[in-house]
Amino acid sequence: MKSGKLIGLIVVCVFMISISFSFTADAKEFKFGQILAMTGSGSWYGMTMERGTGIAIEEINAAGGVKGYNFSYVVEDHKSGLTTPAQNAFRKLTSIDKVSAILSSFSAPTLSIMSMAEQKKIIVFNGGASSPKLMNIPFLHNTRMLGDEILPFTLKYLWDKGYRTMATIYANQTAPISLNDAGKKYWESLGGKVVSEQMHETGATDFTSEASVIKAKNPDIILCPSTGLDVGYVIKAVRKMGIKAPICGTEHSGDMEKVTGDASEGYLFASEFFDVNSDDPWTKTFVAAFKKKFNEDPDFYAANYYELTYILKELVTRVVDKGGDPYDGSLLEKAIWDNPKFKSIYGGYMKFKENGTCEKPVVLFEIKGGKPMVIKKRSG
Amino acid sequence: MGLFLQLLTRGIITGSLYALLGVSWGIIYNTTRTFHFAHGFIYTFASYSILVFTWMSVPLIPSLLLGLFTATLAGCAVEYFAYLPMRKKSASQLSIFLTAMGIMIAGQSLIHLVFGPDSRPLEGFPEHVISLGTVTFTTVDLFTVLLCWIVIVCLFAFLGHTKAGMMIRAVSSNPEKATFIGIDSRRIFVLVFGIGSLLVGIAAFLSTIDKPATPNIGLGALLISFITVFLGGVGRLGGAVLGGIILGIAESLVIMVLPTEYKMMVIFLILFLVVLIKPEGLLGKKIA
Repeated sequence: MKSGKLIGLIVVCVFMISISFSFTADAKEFKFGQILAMTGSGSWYGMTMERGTGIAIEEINAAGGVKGYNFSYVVEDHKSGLTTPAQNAFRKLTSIDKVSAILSSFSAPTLSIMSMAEQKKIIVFNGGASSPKLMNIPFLHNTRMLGDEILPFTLKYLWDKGYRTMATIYANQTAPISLNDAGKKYWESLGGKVVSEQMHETGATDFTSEASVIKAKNPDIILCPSTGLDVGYVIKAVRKMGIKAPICGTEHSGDMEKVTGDASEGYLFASEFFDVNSDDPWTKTFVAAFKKKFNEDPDFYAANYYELTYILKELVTRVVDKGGDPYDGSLLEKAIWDNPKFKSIYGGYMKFKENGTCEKPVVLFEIKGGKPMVIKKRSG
Repeated sequence: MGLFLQLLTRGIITGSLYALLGVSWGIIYNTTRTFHFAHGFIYTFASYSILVFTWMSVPLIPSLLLGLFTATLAGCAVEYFAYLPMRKKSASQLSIFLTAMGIMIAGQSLIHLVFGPDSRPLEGFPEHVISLGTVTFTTVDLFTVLLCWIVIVCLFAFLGHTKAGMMIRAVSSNPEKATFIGIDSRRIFVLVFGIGSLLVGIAAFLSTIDKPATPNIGLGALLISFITVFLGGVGRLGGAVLGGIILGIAESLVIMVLPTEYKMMVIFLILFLVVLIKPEGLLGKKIA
């Protein structure tokens, strides 16, 4: 009996000691959260974004961390754009993991957590979503160019080619709805006509009926501002119906061609231009590290989340230098405005604007041979 | 008129696949009265089995046959190792349903764990656009319709003209009387699970040559399977065929009057109305 009590006492002591050690380790760890699309039709985005963050974390910790803090992250899943999982993830990250900063993606999940973020003073960065609704929200900073800034670039290109009528098909989600509105307004402001508009269910895979309606309207171009694999399924259905009109959008996920095969040839989309062949030394280092680890070039999503992790590093440095606690999100927010200029993985510097956006180089891509190729750069 | 014909054609293509899904689940439910929720998992399992064989450089047709064989075995295994022992212990229908749901969720998660969330296309089937006047479809669509109807006709021929088929019908219409005349209903149950799994495997193959497989494809297929059965009428396999065709055409034509995002709502509305007006389904018999 006595030996039993002794063993019990030892177990309790070991448990207590291990807990105290873990708390000691946590005290010198800067943990932040990520709410990404890890499952569902947009899981490719989550995968590539997490890869970008992971490489940045490895580099930062290998260099000795930041002011005594090692970096780490916890990733949660919003299941490709759902708001309830995003809100649950936010509550978990802030109440259990006690993070002060979150990297988010997709418009609806990001928007759904922002009132809680403001209340709890959690700084949120978005490097993936593109809805114009993401502007002017306290504690939210976008390092991705928003859709209403880049969509006109694509539409103007097609307008200049002589196309005049447009059909649109878009998912019933925040970003596609607002992008469809922005695209439609811009097209009509040019003098063009929208002959058909169809909202589809997110995550659907058969769009042949919708394509049949588009075919009947015979538009010059088709705009599909949906996200993830939805775009691929739309393109596949449109081509399956024998429609040859150019298709443009705002997204291209790296796994889209698994759905479309060669049907995506000629698909047009504008986005930030992350040049993997850039001469910038930092870009070169990142591209080499990414290629070494994953045997492929990084895309701009991976670059954005890599860059965001370094922005967090800079913010933690500024806060700690002033004797502050980096687990206080309001201090991180304040630190941005000490100097809103940050080194950019795109080369040179990027500057946060007060409306929560930033400026990056934008180009127009066309899918050629199954790969996005730059066909036009935006001037100015 | 051109748009109507095009949408009707799409409806027939989709409806043919729905009819096959319907009979695959219907033959199991009509015979065993088991709400086989794990049918969705068998559908996903069949898709991934065929894919795995193609990744092992096995040509498409042998991969299909091997995949269908493993899916059939998996369906029989679910009946033999999960449902049958529960029935022996007089487990309630609810317990069996919950077990089936558990198999579906666990199986889907396992596939997700092993293969990841990525889309997995099944390559090798030639796809070309065919235009007949205002109507456009592809070689994959044509193949889907032909194979679905060949399989459905074969199934009805099997049930109507073979000894095993008649035994299935006997168990389906009255399990107790079937036992009195010497039919082993347990073996028949395993047989119908095998047949249902084979049919859903064919549907999964047809779907995967058109769209890539993902770990969650099974749930949608399962929904369609049992909606068609309840719409067409429980106990009548022809009802499942009719239910599938009605759903496919309705889903396609609804786009002429309602936005496309209301497709699913329309499907459930049709089911609701039919169940409300004729609870036994369109071709179902009234139970006294």
